[in-house]
Amino acid sequence: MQQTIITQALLLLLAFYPAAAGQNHFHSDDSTSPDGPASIFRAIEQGLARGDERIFSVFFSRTVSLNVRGNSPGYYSANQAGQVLRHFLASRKIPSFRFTTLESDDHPFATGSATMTVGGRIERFQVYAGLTRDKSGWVISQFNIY
Amino acid sequence: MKSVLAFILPPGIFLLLLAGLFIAGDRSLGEADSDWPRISREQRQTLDAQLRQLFAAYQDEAHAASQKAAAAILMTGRDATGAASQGELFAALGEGGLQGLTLEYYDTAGVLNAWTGPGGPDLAPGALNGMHRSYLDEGPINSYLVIIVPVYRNERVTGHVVAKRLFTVNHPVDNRFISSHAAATSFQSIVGDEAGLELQFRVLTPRNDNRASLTGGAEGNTGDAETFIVPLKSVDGRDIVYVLAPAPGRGSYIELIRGEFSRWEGLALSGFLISLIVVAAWRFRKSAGGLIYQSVLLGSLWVLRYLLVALDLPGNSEVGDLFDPGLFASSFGYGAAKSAGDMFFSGALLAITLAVLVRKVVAAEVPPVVSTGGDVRIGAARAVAGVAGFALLIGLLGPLSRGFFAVIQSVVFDSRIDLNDPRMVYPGLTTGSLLFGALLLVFALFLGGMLFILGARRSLCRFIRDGARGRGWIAIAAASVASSLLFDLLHPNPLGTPVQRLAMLTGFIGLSYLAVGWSRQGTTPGPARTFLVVSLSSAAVLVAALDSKVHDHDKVLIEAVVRDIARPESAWMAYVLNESLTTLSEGAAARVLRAGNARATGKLAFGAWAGSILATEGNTCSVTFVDIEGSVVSHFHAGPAPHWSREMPMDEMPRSTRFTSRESRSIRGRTSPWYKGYAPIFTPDSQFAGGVWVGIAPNDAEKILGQDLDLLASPQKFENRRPVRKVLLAEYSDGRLVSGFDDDLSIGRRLPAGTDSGLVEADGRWVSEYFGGDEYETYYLRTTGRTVLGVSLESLDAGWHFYSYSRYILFFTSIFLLGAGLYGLWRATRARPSRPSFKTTLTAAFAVVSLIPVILLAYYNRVSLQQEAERSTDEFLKSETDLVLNEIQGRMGMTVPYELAGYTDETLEEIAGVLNTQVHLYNGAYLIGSSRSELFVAELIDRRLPAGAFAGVCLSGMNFYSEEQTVGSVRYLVGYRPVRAQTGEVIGVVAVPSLSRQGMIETDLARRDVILYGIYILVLAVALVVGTGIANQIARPVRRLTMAARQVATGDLDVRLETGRRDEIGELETAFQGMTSDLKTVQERMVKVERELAWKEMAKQVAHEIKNPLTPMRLSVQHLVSAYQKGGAGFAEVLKSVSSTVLEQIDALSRIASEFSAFARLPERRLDLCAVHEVINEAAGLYHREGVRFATSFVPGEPRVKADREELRRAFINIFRNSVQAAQSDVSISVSTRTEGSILVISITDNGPGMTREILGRLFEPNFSTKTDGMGIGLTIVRKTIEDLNGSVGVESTPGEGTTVRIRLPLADRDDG
Repeated sequence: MQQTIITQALLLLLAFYPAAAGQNHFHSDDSTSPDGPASIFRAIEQGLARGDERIFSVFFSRTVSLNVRGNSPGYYSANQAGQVLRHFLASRKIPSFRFTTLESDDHPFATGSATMTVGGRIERFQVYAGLTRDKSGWVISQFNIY
Repeated sequence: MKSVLAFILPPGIFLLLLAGLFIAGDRSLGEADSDWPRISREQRQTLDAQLRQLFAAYQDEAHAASQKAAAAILMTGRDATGAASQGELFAALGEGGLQGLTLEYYDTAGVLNAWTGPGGPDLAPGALNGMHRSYLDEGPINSYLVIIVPVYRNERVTGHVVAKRLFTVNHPVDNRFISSHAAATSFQSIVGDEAGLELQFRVLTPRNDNRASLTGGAEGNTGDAETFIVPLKSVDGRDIVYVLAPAPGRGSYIELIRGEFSRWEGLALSGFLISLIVVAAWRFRKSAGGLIYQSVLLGSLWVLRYLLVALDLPGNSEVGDLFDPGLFASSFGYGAAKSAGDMFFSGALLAITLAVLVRKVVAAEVPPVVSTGGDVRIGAARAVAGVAGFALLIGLLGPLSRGFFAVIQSVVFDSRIDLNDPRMVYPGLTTGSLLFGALLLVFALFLGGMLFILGARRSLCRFIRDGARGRGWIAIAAASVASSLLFDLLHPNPLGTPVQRLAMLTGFIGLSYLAVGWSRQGTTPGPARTFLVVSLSSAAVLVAALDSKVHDHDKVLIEAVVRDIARPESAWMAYVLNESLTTLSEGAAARVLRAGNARATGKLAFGAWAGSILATEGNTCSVTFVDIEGSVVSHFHAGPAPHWSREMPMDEMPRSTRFTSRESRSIRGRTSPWYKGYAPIFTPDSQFAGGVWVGIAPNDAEKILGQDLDLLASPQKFENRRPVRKVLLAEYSDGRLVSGFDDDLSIGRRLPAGTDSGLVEADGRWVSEYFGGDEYETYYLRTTGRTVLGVSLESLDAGWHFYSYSRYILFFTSIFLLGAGLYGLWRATRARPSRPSFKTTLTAAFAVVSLIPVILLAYYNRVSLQQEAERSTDEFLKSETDLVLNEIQGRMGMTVPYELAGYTDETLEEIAGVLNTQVHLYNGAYLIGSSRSELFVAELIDRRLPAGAFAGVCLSGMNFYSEEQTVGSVRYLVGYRPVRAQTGEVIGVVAVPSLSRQGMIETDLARRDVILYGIYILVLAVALVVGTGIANQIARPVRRLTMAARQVATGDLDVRLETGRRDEIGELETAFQGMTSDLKTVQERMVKVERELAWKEMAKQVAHEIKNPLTPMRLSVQHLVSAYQKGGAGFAEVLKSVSSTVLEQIDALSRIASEFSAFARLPERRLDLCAVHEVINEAAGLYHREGVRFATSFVPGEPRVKADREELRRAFINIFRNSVQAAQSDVSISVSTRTEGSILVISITDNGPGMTREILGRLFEPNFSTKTDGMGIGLTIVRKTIEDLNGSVGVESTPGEGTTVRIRLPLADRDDG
C-alpha cells in the first residue's frame, strides 16, 4: 500500500510539474532587464552568436512581432517566439554577430548584419530588434531576422 | 521456447535494425569517402532519369490536350473556305481543357482567334511556322512551356494550336494569391527535396547553350558543391531546358548521410526502447503484477517521451504544420508540447497514465473508516489524519490547478491558429491535434484531481484503521506541501482565481465520489460511466474556456497592433526604406538596366520588390526604376501608392545621390505618413546605370482592418490570426474624433467620458460602447500628448458563442464517435463482440433516422446558401459594373472607340477610388488599364479578357456576364459589362472583381454555415434525447421481463409483473406471471418432498452412525455386568477395559456430533492475507507430535492468499488427517509449493496405500468414506473451502503408491488488503 502511494505521488508530480512549469511565461514581470536596452541588445548578440535563444528570449514581451526567415511573420507569444528561434538557430551556425546600429531613445532599436552557415551554404542575414517599455522595464516587442 | 521468442523478438528486431543502420551508415560513409566518383555518377544517373521522366509526363499531358483541341477544331462546322466561326473555335478549345493549361488557336496569318485558360506569354517571333515543336519561354516573373501543334487540313496548315503551361515562378513570393502550382516546384519537391538538392532551371538560349557557361566554368566540382546538368527535351527532341542540380560535394554529402542515418538510428533506438519497455513490463507483470508493472511501464514511456524530445523526434521540418512550432509552441512540459503534434502525444500519454492510476484506485477495495470505539489514540489519530489529509490535498492540488490553467491559457495564447475561425467549420489535422491534445490534457487533469481526492481519502481511511503503518504517507504529504509551496514561491501562479480553484476542487470531489459509487454498484458499468462523465466534463470545461480565452486573445492581439500603430514609426520605416533601397539598387538591377531588354526591364520593379523586405513586410509601397535619363522603365506598386518618380522629375534631383524623406499624403481620402527614398544604381565598374525610387507607408491600420486582402506580401502577417469580427479604427485629438475608418464613426465624436483624462501614455484601456447600434469593445491608447487611438472590436453576441460551442461540440463528438467505433472494432477483433442492448439498438435507429434528413437538409441548405451568396454577389457586381460604366460613359460623353484608349491605370484608380470599388477596362479582348494594375504586372491575372467573358459579352452580345476566377488559391466572382458605341457595337468591356468583398463573403458564408450546423447539432441532440426517451419506453417492459426471467432463474419466483397493460406486452406479462405462479406451486411441492426425503436420509444416517458406537458400548456393558455377576479377581481388569471401550465410543459419538455440526454450520468468514507456508506449518505441527514425518519444499518468499486463516488451517488438517489415517503407521507426508503466474499450487503427497479409480471418483461426495469411523464429509468441507477462495482441489492416486492432493489458490495482489 505504501508503495502504491509513493508510486502514485511520484508519477503525479512527474506528470503535473512539467505542466505547471510553463506558466512563468504567461507574465513578463520577471523578464525585463534592469540594465536598460543596451544589455538586452548585448544579450541578443550573445544569444545569436552562441546559437542559444534562451539568452535573450527571456526579454520577449508577452506578444512579439516576429519575422524570422522561413517562418510566417506575425504576432507570436513569448513562448512560441522562443521555440521558433530555437528551431531556426538549431540548423544554422552564426560565427559572430554584432549590432551596427544602436538607438537608445524612447523607442530603442538595433540593427546589424552577419553571415550564417546553412547546410554548407553561407548566407547573409539582417537583424532588427525593437524594444518597448513594459510596466516594469524594457522588453523586446519586435524581432526580425531577414 | 515460444514465449521466450515472443519476448526477445520485438526488441531484437529493432536492435538488429539499429545494428544494420549503424553498419549501413558506416559503410555508406566509408564508401562516400573512398568511392565518391561512383556515388556521384549514380546520383547523376538517378537524377537524370527522374527529371527526364517527370518532364516528359508534364509535357506529354499538355501536348495531348493541345492535340485533342486541334482535332476538335478540325471537327468544327466550316464554311466554304474551311474556317470555323469564332464561337465554335472557343468551344473546340474548351474540349482540350486542362487545369492550369492555356490553349490558343491562331489562324494562318498568326491572328489569335480563340483562347482558354489562365494566359501566358506572347509567342516568340516566328514561332508559328507550321512545325510541331515546343520551347520554354523564360520570363522575368514566370517561365512557361509552350507547345505548338499545327492544324492540318488536306495536308495544308490551316492554323496552330498553342498550349502554354506554367513551368517556373521566378520570384520568392508565395501566399494565397500567388500559391505556386509551377511544375518546377513539384519537380523540386519530388526529386530535389528527396535528394537534398536545390534545383535550378535554365532555359537554353544562344548565350548559355554552352553547358560550361551555365556553371561558370567546367561542369563538375565547384568548391564543395558539384553541379549536375540535366538537359530536358522538347516534343521534337531538342534540348530546351537545363536543370542545374548543385548536389553536395563529398564533405557535404557525408554530413547529409550522417544526418539522415542519425535520424533513422534515433527512430530505431526509440523503437528498440519502446519494445524493450513493453516486453520487460509484460514479463515483469508475470512476477510482480499489479500497479508496479504498470508504473514501470508508464514511467519508462515518460522517460522515452523526453528522450524523443531531447532528440527532437519526430522533428518539425519533416512533417509540416503538425510539428511546426510556428503554429503552436508551449513552454510547458519542458519541450513535450512544442507543437500541436507534441501536444497530442503528451496529452495522450498523460491521459493514459492518469486513467491507469484512477482505475486502480477506484477498482481497489475502499477500506471503511472503522472506529474501535472508546480508543483515545484513534481520536487523536483522526485529528492528525484529517489535518494531514487536507494538507495533502492542498499541497498536491497546487501544481494540478497550475497545470490546468496553464493548459487552457497556452492552447490559445501560444498558438497562431485561430481556433474560432468561422471559415474553418471542421478543424484540420494540425488544429484538430491541438484541440484533441488539449482535451486529453484536461481529461488527464480531471483524472489527476480525482486521484488526489481518492488517494487522500484512502490514505486517511488506512491511517485511521492502522495508524502505525500510515506514517509514510504523512511524510509524502509533507513533502508535497513543501515542494508545492517552494514551487509557488519560485514561480508565483498568475492564473486561476481562488473561486475557480474552489470550483475545480468541488468538481473533483463530486466526480471522485460518483466514480467510487459506480464502482461499488458493479464492476462493468463503473469505469465506462466514469470515463463518459469525466470526458464530458473535460469537454464542457475546455469548450467554455476556449470560447472565453480566444476572445481574450483577440483583445491581446488588438492591443499589440494598436501599440504598433501608435509607436512612432520613424525608426522601423526608415530601416525598411533603407534596407529596400540597398537591396534594390545592389541586385541585378544594374545588369538589367544596362542590357536594355524591354521585357526584362518592364518586370524589373516587380521582381525587385518580390525579393526585398518590402514583400516580406507587406506594406503599401511603390518601386520605380528609372534609366540614366530619369525616365521610368519599370514601376510596381502594392496597394494604392503614389508614383513618386512622376511627381519628382529627375532634373530636380541629383541623379547619383541617395536620399530619403518623409511626408504626409492623402490617398483615397485618408492622410497617411509616407516614407520615400531614391538610390542610384551603379554597374560593378562604377558606371551610373539608373536609379530606384521606393515609397512606403506604415499601414498597420489597414492590416488590422483586413484591408490588406489585396496586398501581395509573402506571406501576409495577419493571414493566420486576423480577427474575423468587425474592427473599427478611430483617431481622436483633444478628445474629438478626427479620423475614422467606418461610416459609423462620425467626425467630431467625443471620447467616452473619463477616457481622455484617465489614459496614461503606454497604458491603454478597454471600454464598452455602441456604434451604429452595435456593441463594441474599444481599446483606447494615448499615442502623444493630445492624440488617442481607439480600436473597436465587435462584441461577442450569442451567435458567436453558439458558433464556437457548436464547432467544438461537433469536433469532440466526432472524435468520441470515432473512438467508440475503434473500441467496437477492437472488441470484435478480440472475439468479444459487444452486443448492443435492445435500447441501444433502438436509440441508434432513432439517431440514424433523424440523421438522414438532417444531412439532406444540411446539404440542401449549404447549396442554397452558396447559390444565394452567388446571386447576391452577382447583383452586387451588376450594380457595380453599371455604376462604373455610367462613370466611364459620363466622362467620355460620346462613346467612341479611340477614347477608350485614353483610360490609364491612374484614371481607373481614380474612378475606383470615387466609387469605392475595383475596375479593369478592356478594349476588345485586351486590357487597357486597371485600378489594380499590380495584379496584372505580377502576372496573377491574364491581360486578355477571359474566354467565357469574351464569348459571352463580345460574341453573344450579353449585357452582363459573370464567372468565377481564381488567383492563387482565392476564388472570386468577376462581373463584365460591354461598353457600347452609339451604334450598339461593343467597343470594350468593363470588369469588376469581387476580390475586395471576398473576405466578407467567406466570413458571412461561414457564419451562416456555422449557425446552421449549430441548429443541426441541436436538432440531432434533441432527436437523440427524444429517441433515447422513446427507446426507454419501448425497452422498459422488455428489460423488466428480462430481469424477471433472471430472477426466476436464480430461484426467486415471487416476481410480480402486473403493469395493467392491455397490449401484447401486457399479455406476455400475464402469461409470464401465470408461469411463475405455477412454477412456484410445483417448486413448493418439490421442496416439501425433498425436505422430507432429506430428513429421512439424515435420520437414517444419524441412526446408523449412532448405532455403530452403541453396539460395542452395549456389548462392553453386558460384558461388564457378566463379569460383575461372576465376581472374581479379574473384574478390575474388565472394568478398565470396558471403561476404555465405552469412553472411546463416547468420543466417537462426540466426533460424529461435531462433524455434523461443522457440516451444517456456515461460520462468518474473515478474509485476510494469509501466509500460506505459515498456515501449512501450523497444521503440520499438530501431527509432528504423533510421529508423522513431514518434508517441505516451499517456493522462495512468502506467498500470500486472501482467505480465512482458521478455515484454511482446518482444510490442511483435514487433508493431513486423511493421510495419517490412510497410512496408519510410519506416516510420511511431503508438502511442496510453487507458483504458476498468479496461482499458488500446493501439493501434499503421502505414503499411504493409494486409492482405486472408483474411490477417487467419489472422494468429494458427502457421506462417502472408506473408514469405519468417518462421516465422509472432511474432504467435502476441504473442497468447499478451497472453491470459496476461487481455487480448486484435485487428487491423484495410484493403488500402492500413495496419494497426492493438489490445491490451486489465487495469489493475493500486492495492494490487496
